[in-house]
Amino acid sequence: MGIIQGTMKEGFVTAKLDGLINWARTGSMWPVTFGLACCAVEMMQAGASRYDMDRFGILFRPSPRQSDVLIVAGTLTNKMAPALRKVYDQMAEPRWVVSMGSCANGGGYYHYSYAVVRGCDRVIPVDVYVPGCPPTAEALLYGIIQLQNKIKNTNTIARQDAA
Amino acid sequence: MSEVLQKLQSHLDASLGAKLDKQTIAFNQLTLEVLSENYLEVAQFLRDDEICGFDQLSDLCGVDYLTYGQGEWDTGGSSFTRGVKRDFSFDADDSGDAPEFEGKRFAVVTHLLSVKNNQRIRLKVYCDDNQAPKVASITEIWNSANWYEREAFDLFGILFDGHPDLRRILTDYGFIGHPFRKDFPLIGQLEMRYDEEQKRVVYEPVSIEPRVLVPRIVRGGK
Repeated sequence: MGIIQGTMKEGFVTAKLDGLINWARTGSMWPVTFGLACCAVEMMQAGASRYDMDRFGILFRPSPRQSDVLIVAGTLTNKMAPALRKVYDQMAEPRWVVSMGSCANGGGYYHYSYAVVRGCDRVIPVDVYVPGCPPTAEALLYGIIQLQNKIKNTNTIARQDAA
Repeated sequence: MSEVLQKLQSHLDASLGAKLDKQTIAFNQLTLEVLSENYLEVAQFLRDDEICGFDQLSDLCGVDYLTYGQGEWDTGGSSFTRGVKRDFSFDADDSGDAPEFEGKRFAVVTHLLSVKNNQRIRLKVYCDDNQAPKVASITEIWNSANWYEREAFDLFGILFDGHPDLRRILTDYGFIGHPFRKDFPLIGQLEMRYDEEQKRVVYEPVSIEPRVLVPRIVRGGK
C-alpha cells in the first residue's frame, strides 16, 4: 500500500499516521444505498459479482449512520430533496458524496423541468461527479477510485492549511 | 371485430339512447361521449348491464384542449429547429386567471375493460366550467378510479365531486398550480436549494429561461 516508511527488527514498522488513516478510510468506503432512477441499476451492477465493488472493501449499507459515502444515483426531484439532505445530515463524518449521472450532476434531461433539482450539489456538497446517462458500472467504479485518490491526498494530522 | 362493436353500439343506443352525446368507432374501439350530468348514470350502466359488463377500470386521465389543433409542428416545407420558444405564449401569471377559451376546455377520459366479453370501451366527459372544471367521481363504481382521479386533479386541476380523498398525489408538498395544463410553464415557478444558514431547503423563483429542447424535424414533400 506504500504507507510503510521503514521496518525495524522485532517486526516493528513505522508509518505516517495520516497514511494509516487514509489507508483505513479508502479501504472500507461503505456507501449508503440511494438509488433514485435508472442509474441505480448500473450502481447495482457495479456492486454485483461482475464488477464486484467488494474487492475495494465497498459494501452497500442500508443505513446512513453506518455509511461513509453517499452515491446519488439518479434524478433528484424537488419532493425528494429534503429527504436526501436528511440522509446526508444523518451520516457520520468524515463523509463523501458521489454524484452519479447527468441528472444528479446538473438536472440532465430534466434540467428544464418544474419538478427536478438542477443538480444535487444545490442540496448537498459533492466530491466526485460521474458523467454519463447512465454512467456504466466501470465509470462509477472509476469515479470511486478517483474519490479514493482524493481521500489519499488529504491530511488529517499534518494539516496543510498552514502552508 | 367491427361486428362485435356494431352490436355493442346498437345495444347502447337502444338502452341509453338520449343519454349519449356521441358515439364513434376509432382504432377498433368504441368511444362514448356523455354530458357531465349523465356521466354517473352511464358509468353505472356500463358496469352493471349484463351485455356490457365493464367491470374493470384500466385508466382515467384528464385532457386539456387549450391548444388543441394549433399546429406547432405544421410547416410548409422541410425544416429543423432546436431550442426554440413555442409559437404560442401565455402569461406565466401570478393572478391564476385561466386564459380565454371557447367551448369546453377540460375532459376526463376513462378506459374500461370487460373481462367477460374481452372488450374495451372509452368513455369521455367534458367538464362544464373552464374556471373550476368539475365532474362526478366514479370511485363508488370502480374503486381503482381513486388514485387516477387524484392524479387528474393534481395535474389538471379537475375537481371530482364525491371523491373520498381528493389530495395531490404526485407533485411536491405545497406545490402551486397544475403542471399538465397547457398554460403552465414547463420550468415551473419555483426552484429549490439548500440554505446553509436556515439549515433546510428553500424555494426561490426560477432563475432559468424556458426553452424547448425537443428537436423538430419535419420532412416536407410527398
